[in-house]
Amino acid sequence: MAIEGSYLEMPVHLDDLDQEHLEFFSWCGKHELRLQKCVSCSLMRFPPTTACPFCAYQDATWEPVSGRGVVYSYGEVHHAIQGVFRPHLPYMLLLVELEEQRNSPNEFDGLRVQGNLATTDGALASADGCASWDWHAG
Amino acid sequence: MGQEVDATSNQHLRGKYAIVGVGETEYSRGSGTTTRGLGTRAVRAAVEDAGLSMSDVDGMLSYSFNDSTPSPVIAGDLGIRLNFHMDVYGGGSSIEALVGIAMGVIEAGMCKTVVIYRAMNGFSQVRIGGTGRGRGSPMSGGALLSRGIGLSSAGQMFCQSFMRHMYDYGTTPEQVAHVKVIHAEHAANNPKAYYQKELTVDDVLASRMIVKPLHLLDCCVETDNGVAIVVTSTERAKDCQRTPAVIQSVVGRCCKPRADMHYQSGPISTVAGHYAKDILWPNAGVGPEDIQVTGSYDAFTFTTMMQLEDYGFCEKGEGGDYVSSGKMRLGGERPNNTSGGHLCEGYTHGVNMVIENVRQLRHDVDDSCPIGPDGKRQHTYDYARGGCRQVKDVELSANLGWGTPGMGSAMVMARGA
Repeated sequence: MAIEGSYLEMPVHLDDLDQEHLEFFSWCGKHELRLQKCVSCSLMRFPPTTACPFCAYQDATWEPVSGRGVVYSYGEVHHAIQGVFRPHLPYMLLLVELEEQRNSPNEFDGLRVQGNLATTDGALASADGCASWDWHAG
Repeated sequence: MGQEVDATSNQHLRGKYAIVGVGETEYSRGSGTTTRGLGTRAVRAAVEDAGLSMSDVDGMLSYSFNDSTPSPVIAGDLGIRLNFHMDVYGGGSSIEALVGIAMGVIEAGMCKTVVIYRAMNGFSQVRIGGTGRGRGSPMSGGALLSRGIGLSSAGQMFCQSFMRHMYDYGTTPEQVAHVKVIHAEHAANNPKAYYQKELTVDDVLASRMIVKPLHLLDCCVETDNGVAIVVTSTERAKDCQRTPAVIQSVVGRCCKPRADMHYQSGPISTVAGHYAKDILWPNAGVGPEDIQVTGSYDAFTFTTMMQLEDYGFCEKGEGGDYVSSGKMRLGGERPNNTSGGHLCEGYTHGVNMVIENVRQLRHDVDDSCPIGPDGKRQHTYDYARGGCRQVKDVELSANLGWGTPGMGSAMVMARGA
């Protein structure tokens, strides 16, 4: 079923036809991070896709992931392009490599997710607001 | 650099096609006209530069982010009857790819001479920095994972690759700031350049942070302009008035694995040039060490650095050393973006760096050197401010076009007869 809503005052519309994103965000709505896992080669992938980037098989299941990983890279935004992000400057663009699939299927590959640094209640945070912030070896 | 290079056989149309005309409007902020007006002026200027008439043109290609005017309109305004045309979606890395398409359609007998243009009001209409139209529509699908997290501009999309390069190889913002400093020096010798002011490394590092590690002066200028080039066979180029820039090799929109989500694959401190180089150099029959002038796409200082590195102009990881060594300065071993490029001259999604290298190969760069009795500039090779920007005796150039970290195009050109 389609999802209508808003996030940070930005309108959101997820069409019925977009089954992959509907499923991903439906799990997010239940506070679960689930990613597609290929039924054929068993590799997981992000973001949602319509086939497996590793073996082209189309069937996948939605599997929970730990959410733990290391910061593989980041950017720190000081100039907002979108007005709604202006109150949150400087906000972080994190690329996190999840612990589930490191150096797989090849060396230097990884299951990486894009996201913001946020507090536990979901508010965007700067690096300064994160006491345990560290630059871990990727 | 160890590439397998075959210089003996004329593979893949090497030497069979050339850029015979180039045209541009003023690089401005406030063109005072539509993209239709800009495209028309640039195409007309390029055809006239070639010494051709409008009726000699029967093919047209353009590209845009739906922020331009399509080729049937430009051709119509100029009275050009087309046997072939196509308007494709895209920005950086398109121009070299479209040169390849032009060669292919001429080779297939679909037309004889192709004009390629890019017309944009990149400052006064749809701003390239991402503040233009289309921001108010609802987010759906993948946009939730980009716009939804404040990841929408080019700088925001590329910054993680730049940051990881610093982490993997110890590259510093100071080293990379030299790209801006050097391109600004070159622009100081370019009367057309939007920014002609010289800068220091400290100026770059003191400019305000946009998205770490990019300061304001690590980012290109936004301008309004129309730019165009004319592609035809080297055989037909003999009827044109300028020395042709002969295409030796071309790579179009070559991708890393997972082109759409390149950050999922391999180290993100390596860009598409890593793959493109294996097409570019063997097909050209030369290697990076043979190239005398480069046009490495400078949407950002970091894009120039990462491409020069991955195309093999230095060892992997030594891009920071390369760009801060002075090698790519006018008078250095291999100057880069002698017009000032996107950082200083104007933003065209790659065309002005191709135009500049065509003029370099003609030995007729439009700097401030005096014009002699034969109507040609008498180049002084004195690169002091306000002086020459012609590279001496240049025979071979390379353009390295950037679309994203995961997608790039490239072209080698040689001075023709």
